[in-house]
Amino acid sequence: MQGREGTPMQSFLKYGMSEQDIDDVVSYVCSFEKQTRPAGYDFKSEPLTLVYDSPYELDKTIANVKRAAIGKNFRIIRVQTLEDGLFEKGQDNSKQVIVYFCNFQLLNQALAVDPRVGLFLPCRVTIVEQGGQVKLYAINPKHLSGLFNNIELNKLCREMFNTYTDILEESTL
Amino acid sequence: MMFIKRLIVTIGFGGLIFFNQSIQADNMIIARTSQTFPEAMAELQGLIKTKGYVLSRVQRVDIGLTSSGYKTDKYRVVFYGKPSENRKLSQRYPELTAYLPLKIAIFAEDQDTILVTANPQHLSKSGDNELARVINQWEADLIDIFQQMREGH
Repeated sequence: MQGREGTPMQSFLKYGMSEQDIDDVVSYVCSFEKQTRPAGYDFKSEPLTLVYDSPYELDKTIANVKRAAIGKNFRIIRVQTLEDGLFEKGQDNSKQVIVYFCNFQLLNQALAVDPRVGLFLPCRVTIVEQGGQVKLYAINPKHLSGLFNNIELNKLCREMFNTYTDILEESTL
Repeated sequence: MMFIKRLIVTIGFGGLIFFNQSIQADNMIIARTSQTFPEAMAELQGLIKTKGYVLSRVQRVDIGLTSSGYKTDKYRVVFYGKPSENRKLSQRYPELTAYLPLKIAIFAEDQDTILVTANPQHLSKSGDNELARVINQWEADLIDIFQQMREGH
């Protein structure tokens, strides 16, 4: 309220906030105390990656992922190999394919909560054929929520976890 | 109350960035530079290359947003990797393919530019020394790149 003399910290009254606004801010900050993670929380207990086996061939699985993402109101951004841009065209491994998809409303909502989350957007599923078996790999948002350590992101990460598992399950039915 | 919430998030995030100018967080590596967005982007790409990585793509997140009617500051995700290393790891550890190539988010905030990436240590597996060596190198490179970005201005 008064600022702190001899430091760059000035009174927030000078920034146009009322005393009520400042009280609200203090109250809101104090409320964080109730939102701390439970002691001993270890995000590493969450698997790093969501992994699903596909009973289909690579191309069919890619088509399934695209259809499932669209069915969840996502827009397909692009489909590329994992090695795209790292190797010359034709030299990249065509058996490792990434499907990128995005829901711009969700993206905007996530960035508003925490701009760091853009690091893991847009959403993606990697489809890999190795040893005759096709598998799907996706980030685990529950694992990532531990990295960000932002309580406001937890709900969003839980929702994204459900969305990813829905898409992965539907793609491999 | 929405204004208050936004203010708190801004103050909280700003504070986080401030402290990360000198201290590397455990899980996230963050840097703020007073360089403009284009300057910071150019320097970041140069530093990534000097560490022996190849830039595979720059994803323009803001384009997708603005074309859908949203407005946001400049926001990109820079993907990079070492081709042979990427190939070897993705075949030996296919579960890592969800996180490869490596990436750094870079976005404008007022006059400054902020860089964010996840500390690659979260990808490590206990008892796997070969993977640990690779991840330790990634982490060291990132810390050096981010430090040089902070010193850029």
